[in-house]
Amino acid sequence: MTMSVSTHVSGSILDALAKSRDEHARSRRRRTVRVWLLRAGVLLAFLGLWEWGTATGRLDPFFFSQPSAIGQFLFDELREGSIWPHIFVTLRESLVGFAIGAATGVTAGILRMQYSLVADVSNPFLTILNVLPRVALAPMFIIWFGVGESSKVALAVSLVFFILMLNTEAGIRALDRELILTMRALGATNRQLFWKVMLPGAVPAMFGGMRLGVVYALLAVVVGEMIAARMGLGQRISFYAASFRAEGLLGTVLVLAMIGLLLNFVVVRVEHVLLKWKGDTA
Amino acid sequence: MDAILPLVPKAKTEIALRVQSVSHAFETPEGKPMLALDDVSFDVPRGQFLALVGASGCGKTTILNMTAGLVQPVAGSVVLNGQPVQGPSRNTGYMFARDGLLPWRSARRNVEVGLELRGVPAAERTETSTRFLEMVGLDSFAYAYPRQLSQGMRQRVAIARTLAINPDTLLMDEPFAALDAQTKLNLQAEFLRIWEKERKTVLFVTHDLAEAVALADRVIVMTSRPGRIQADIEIDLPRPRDPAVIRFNHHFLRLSERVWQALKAGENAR
Repeated sequence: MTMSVSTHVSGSILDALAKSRDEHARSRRRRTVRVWLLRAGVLLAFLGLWEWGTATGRLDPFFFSQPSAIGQFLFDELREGSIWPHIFVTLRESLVGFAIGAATGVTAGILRMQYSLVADVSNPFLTILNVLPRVALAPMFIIWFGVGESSKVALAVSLVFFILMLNTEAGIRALDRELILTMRALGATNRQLFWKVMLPGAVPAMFGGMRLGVVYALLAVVVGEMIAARMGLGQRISFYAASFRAEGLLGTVLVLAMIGLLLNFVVVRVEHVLLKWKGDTA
Repeated sequence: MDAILPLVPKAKTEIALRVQSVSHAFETPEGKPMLALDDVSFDVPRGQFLALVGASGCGKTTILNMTAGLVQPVAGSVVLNGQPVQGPSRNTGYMFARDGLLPWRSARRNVEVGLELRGVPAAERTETSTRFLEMVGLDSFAYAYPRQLSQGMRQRVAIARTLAINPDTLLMDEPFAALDAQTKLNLQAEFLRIWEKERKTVLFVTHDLAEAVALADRVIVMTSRPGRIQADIEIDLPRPRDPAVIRFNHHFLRLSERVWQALKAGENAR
C-alpha cells in the first residue's frame, strides 16, 4: 500500500540520488589527488633541502651524503647487478625464518591453549626466552650455526615464533563465548569446537601477528648479517659503514625499506582475501 | 472455566518432557548458596508449545539449560522422551537471544553447521540449507556474511540453523528479545507459521507476556528466588494465529491479564 507512493516520485528522486552520489565520488577523487600531491611536495621539499644543504656546504656530504649521490649509487648497483645476490640472500633468509617461526609459533599457541598442562609447564621458560633481547643471542647463533644463512634464519625464527604464539593464544582466548555456547548446544564435540570455532576464530589475530612477524624477521636477518655474514644487505651495510660510504649505506637502507614494504604488502593481500568475511581489513 | 491445567495431563497424550521435583542452587559471588529452583515439577505433552514466564532470576533459563543437558539439577530429574537428560542431545535444538552465527561463514554455511557436526554429507546439507533458507525468506542472501545481514535476518538464519538439524524438541531462550518491535512481530509470525506445520515440542522462555500468550499453548508463570510455579495457564486461542492481529482479540486480553495477575501475585507472595 505504501510502496506505490515511491514509484511516482522515483524518477526525480533517483536522479537526485545519482547526482549526489556522483558529486560525492568526484569530491573524494579530488581529495585523493590532493593528498598525493601534498605527499610528493613534502618528499620533494625534504630531498631538495637536503640536496641544497650539502651543495651549499651547510651539511657535510661525507657524513650525510646527498639525494643525488644515493640515487646514482642505486642506479649503478641495480644496473650492473651487483646488489641482486645480496637482495636474494636477505629475502630468502627472511622468508624461511618467517615461515618456520610462524608455523612453529601457531602450533605452540594451539597446543598451549588445548593442553593446560603444556601451558603451565612451559610458561616460565617461554616468558624468560621472550623477555630476553633476542638480538643478544645473535653471536651465539653464529657460533652454533656458522656465518652462513642458517644462523640468520635461526635468529628470525626466535623472534617470529613468540609473536605468532602469543597472537594465536590471544586470538583463541578472545573468542566470543556466545559462539562456543551456541555450537555446544548444536552438539559440537570438543574436537569440533576446536576446528570449527576456535581455530577459524583465531585467524584474524594470527594475521595481526604475521604482519608484525614479517617485519621482525627482516630485522633479525639484517642484524645477524651485520654481525657476521658473507652475503646479504646487512653485510653490505656493515661494509659501507666501515668504509665510510654514506651513500652506499643509505641506499642499501632504502632497498631494505622497499623489501619491508613488499613483504608487508603480500601479507596484507593474503589477509584481505582470506578474511573477506570481516570486510574492513585494509 | 478457569483453565489451570492439572500437573499430569490426560493419560493418552505422550509426555515429551517431564520435569520432576527439580531443585537447584547457585553460589552467589559472596560464596553463599542461593536457592534458584525449589521443587519444580511439570510435564509437557509432545507437540505442545509451552512458555515459561517470570521475572529475571526465577530460574526459567536454568530449566532450559537442564533440558538441554548443559546443567545438572542438584535434586530431582529431567526426563526427555523417556530418557533422563545427562548431557547435550543431538535431537534438541537450542536458540538464544543472540544469534551466535559464526562471522566467517556465509548464511548458508551457518545454517549447515549443525548438519556438518553430525557428519551429514555435503549434497544433503546443501539441499537442507536451501530448503530452510527459503522457509525463512533468505534464499537470496545465502552467500551473505553475518555482518552484511540485519539483526532480524541474522535471527532468521539462527532459526533456520536450529530447525535444519530437525530436532524433536526446541528450547528457546528469549529468541526474539534483541529485535525491534516490528521485526519481532514478523519473526514471531514466521516462526509460528513454521511451527504450526511441524508441531514440535517447544519450551519457550520469555519475560514478554504478550509474546508468551500469543505464541504458546500453555503458559507457566514462575516466582523468583526461589523459582517456583505460581500458575499454569492454558492458552486456548484458536490456531493458526497471527501474533500481530491476535493482540486485539478479547480472549487474548483476558488471558494476558490472568498471566499478568499471576505474575503480580508471585511477586507479592515473596
